Amino acid sequence: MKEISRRTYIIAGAITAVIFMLGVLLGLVVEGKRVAFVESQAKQQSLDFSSLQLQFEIVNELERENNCAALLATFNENVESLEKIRIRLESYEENAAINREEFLLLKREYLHAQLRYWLLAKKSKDLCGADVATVLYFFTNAEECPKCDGQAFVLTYLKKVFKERLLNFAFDNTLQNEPLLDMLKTTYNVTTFPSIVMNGKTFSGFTEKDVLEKEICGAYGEKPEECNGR
Amino acid sequence: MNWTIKIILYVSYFVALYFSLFWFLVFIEKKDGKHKLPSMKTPPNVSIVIPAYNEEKRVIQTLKSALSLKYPSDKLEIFVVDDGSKDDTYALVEEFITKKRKFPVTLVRQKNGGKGAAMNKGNKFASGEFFVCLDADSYVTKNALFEMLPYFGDEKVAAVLPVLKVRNPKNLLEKLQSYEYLVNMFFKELMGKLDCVHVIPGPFSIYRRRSLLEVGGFDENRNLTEDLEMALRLQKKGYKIIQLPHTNVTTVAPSTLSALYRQRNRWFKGAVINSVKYREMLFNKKYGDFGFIQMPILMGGGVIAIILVISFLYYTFEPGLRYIYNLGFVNFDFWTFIKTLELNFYFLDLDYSTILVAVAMLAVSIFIFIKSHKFTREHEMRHGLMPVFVYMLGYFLLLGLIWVGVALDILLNRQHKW
Repeated sequence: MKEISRRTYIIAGAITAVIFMLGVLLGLVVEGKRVAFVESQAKQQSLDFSSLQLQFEIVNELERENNCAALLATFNENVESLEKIRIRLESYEENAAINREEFLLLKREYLHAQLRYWLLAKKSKDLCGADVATVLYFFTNAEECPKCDGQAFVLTYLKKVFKERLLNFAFDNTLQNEPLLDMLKTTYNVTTFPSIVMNGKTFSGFTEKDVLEKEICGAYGEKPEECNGR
Repeated sequence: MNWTIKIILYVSYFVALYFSLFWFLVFIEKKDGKHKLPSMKTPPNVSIVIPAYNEEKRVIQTLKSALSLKYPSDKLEIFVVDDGSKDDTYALVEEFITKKRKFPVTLVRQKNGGKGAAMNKGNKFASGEFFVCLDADSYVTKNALFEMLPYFGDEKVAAVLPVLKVRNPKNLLEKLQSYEYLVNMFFKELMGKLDCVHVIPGPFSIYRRRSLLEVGGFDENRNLTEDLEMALRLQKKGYKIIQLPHTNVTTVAPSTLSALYRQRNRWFKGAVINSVKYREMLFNKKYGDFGFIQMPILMGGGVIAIILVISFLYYTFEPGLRYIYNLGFVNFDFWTFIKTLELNFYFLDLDYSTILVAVAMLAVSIFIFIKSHKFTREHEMRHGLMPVFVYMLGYFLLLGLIWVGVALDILLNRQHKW
């Protein structure tokens, strides 16, 4: 009978388990930090929104339309920053082990923020005559919507083309029990994913870049050079 | 990520880390075995067999290397077994023997029957107490027999193995293999500490002929890795196999990717087939550590390698490939993205758990790499920094991909092409 190095097997198993537990622990600590980070960003966003809202009120009250340019630039920055955190939040939520509920609540909060900015965008058009196009993008998870990734890519591209003159608002259908989302879906008759709402029209399924470009250009009073030939 | 995939991945990481740490512990815990080294007042008779199949380019040099061994010529006999070569191997050896009649070389010819059959043929003619296999692409140092034979002082020792190094590595692939060989030698030395050596390579491994005959000689059934099969058989019989840290033997390593693929495909497939053949040894107390650590590695190492390489490739390249695919939706207008490129990275985005495990594995790998070089008395940077870098970060991918090929061959029941 040959020898079995029991001790070595046990110690190797114990060290491996410790390293793995450290890994899991580290993962949980990082997850907690992610929740805290997104929460603080949400607070920041909320403050930024209140500030922007107030600025619009002031412009309205004092008829200070000459401030509109700076205001619209800030508005665009805020929407872009909101979108970046929303994307990050999605990735955090997807990889979450124990804080999924917290991330879902935060996602709802961000959805509300998106809607608030969308409404404010309408106001900015009235108050400052902002010549911007707005896109409402409805998507869901990759398993149910394999084309959503491509559609998001096209919208990101269009944002880079039209810059501050295009505002993208993305709504995640995986958020259950969110009446606001249901309200929007019913209003715009969104039944499949991806879906895009622009200029009151609903585009169901994957929408080609050229179709969207044409639609975006159609929304402008004064067409940017990117719309030449469209 | 799907939870099933997550669990499979984490189990694979765990197992891979476990094996790495296990051997690390063997290194620091187990002292070198005390081998009886009786003096060789009367050198024993030794028979060297050189099996050769289409080796016209190298067989004479190998033969010269065997003849240059410092050993009493009346105690040494050399057999070249031509395994039905289609080239001029036979004629060249015959000519060499005719010219140098004073050397104890015998040329034997057989119908092509594989290396196992060729070695058994040589063994039939052999009369030595010890049997040495010398592949026709390998070269041995002069003192090899005097350095290796004393380790047979322990009657349980059935085979003693030299340090196998790559001969004159020139291109990157050969240099990468030269590192790999040294790491393998180091691992085999560690395996030896637990009596777990699982392969007796062809280049100048010495067998106690009695033990070889007792287990029935080499497998003639076209075994893909007759050297591994022989080691399994000797282990099963309770014999010891010793890996030495000295006595260099050099061998020619494949210099092209296709040649390397063919060689490793045969080795890996042979390891799977033979370990399945000896599956009763798996977790069998009777075979000690061999059954508990070596058999699981032989049987499952490939699966872990495949999982690790596929997951690595997927997570490394999938985002890039997806990006390129998505670019198709915007007529590959890459320039717009370049113009507006911005860094959107935050330290919390990283997957620290996986990084921790990867760093632990990399640390163990670096440690083993350095120790392997010390063990075989080679300098780590002898080929410069770049090959080391490629070896540490990329060679496992290459081997993993070969494992994928082996898995496909086995699943699709493809016959091995020799």
